[in-house]
Amino acid sequence: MFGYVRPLKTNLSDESAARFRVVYCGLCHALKKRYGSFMSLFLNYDFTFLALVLDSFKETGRVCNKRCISKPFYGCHYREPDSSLFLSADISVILTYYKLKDTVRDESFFKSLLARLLILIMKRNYEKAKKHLPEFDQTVRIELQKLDKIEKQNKESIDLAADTFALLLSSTAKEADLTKKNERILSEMFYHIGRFIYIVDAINDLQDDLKKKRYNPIAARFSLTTANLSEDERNTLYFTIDHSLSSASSAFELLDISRDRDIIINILYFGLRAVTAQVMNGTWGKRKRK
Amino acid sequence: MNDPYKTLGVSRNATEDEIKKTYRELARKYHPDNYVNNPLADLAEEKMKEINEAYASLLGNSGNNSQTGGQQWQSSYRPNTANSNIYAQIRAYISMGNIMQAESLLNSISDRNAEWEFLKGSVAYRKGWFDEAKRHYETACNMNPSNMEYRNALNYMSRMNNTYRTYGGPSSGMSGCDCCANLICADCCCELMGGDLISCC
Repeated sequence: MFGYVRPLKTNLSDESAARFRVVYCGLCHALKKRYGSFMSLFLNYDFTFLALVLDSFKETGRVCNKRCISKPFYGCHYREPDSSLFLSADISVILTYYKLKDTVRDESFFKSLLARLLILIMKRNYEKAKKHLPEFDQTVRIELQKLDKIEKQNKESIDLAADTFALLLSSTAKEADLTKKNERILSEMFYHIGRFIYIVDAINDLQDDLKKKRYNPIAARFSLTTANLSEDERNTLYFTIDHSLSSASSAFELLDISRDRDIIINILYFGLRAVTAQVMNGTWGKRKRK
Repeated sequence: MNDPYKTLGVSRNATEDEIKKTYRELARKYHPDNYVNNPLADLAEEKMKEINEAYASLLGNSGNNSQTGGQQWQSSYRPNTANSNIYAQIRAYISMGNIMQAESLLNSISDRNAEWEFLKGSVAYRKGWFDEAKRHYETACNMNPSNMEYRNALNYMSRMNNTYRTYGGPSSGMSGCDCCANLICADCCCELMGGDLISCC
């Protein structure tokens, strides 16, 4: 995943920002504990969101303090890794592995050297994560194969292409130990978050994909030859993205959670919209390159 | 029965006005009209029932917004074509949530009229394929501009987007004026679709 799912910091209270940090560091510790320090380099906000949502079902959870590489002097407060954090860690290892595989396939031999190296280093970690989540790994494999076919046929349906990644993310709900009702809701909510991530990432990659003559669902949908989107095309994209975010939020409102409602609301209603705007006006990539 | 205070999310010493205000907010959020053709519609309905019961047990009446169900697929609507039976069947599948059957029946029809486009849009919508849903709804509206059901389906998507976008207002905190305007607007939309948000108008 790509780090698109994050809160809008300016709208977040200090307390909530601290709590988000605690979960972020908790996931980092979960990765280190199960997979070693190297894997914690792949930590990102999308997986933190996953961990946050899974942790929100529990009323309490132990918070510890420890020094680490990024906070060597005072240490950081972190959520003690438990089932929901380890699950997020397993999922992140599997998805990171497949993302690197994707890079190797898409880029030239020399450009993909780093990705090839990383795959070699993390292969054993991936095998370990796969042992924890065999069904999820199978789903990821199947959905990515479907996506590969769609790419080769240059399908012009955004929905068809986004459906693969949306189903993949949606299937994570099955792995968490939830009531049937919550599992159903979470699966629907994650479908729309997955759809959002896929479409926003496709908009972000539009220019690069056109230059390298790679499949891009947005380019295929509007038969684009340049990355400049017309007003109509932008409105169409905003409409469909907003409707996914609206559906994810409606689903979330039905979820029986015990805490962190304000942070999740911030992400769903403000964070994701801010990210969409940044990607749409081209400031997202610039911010990342700085 | 669950603790009504917990269900409504109010403290035990909340005043009647506070309870009423919270109830109104919750009723607006979980109103069946916000979950039309949504796979989670049954859960929203359940939630609405719990809220109504909690409100009734605290204030002694069932409130203004007791709803029995959202907008359902009206099987009474029969298009006047040779395919009307098959379309009624497709509608029945959609309302039962059997999207795969509905879709395969739709794909077997070669004569594609406005009704076909509308139902194809509905199936896409249920799957979360919103770009295709919108395109099919638009085609249905263009083919049969006088059909309110088709138009409502399209307007519903815009309305939900607007509700989502205006959450908390531009700088967090919706002004009283916006809130009323939205409520009245939502009420008008609901009435069009057979529901009612403000019972007196």
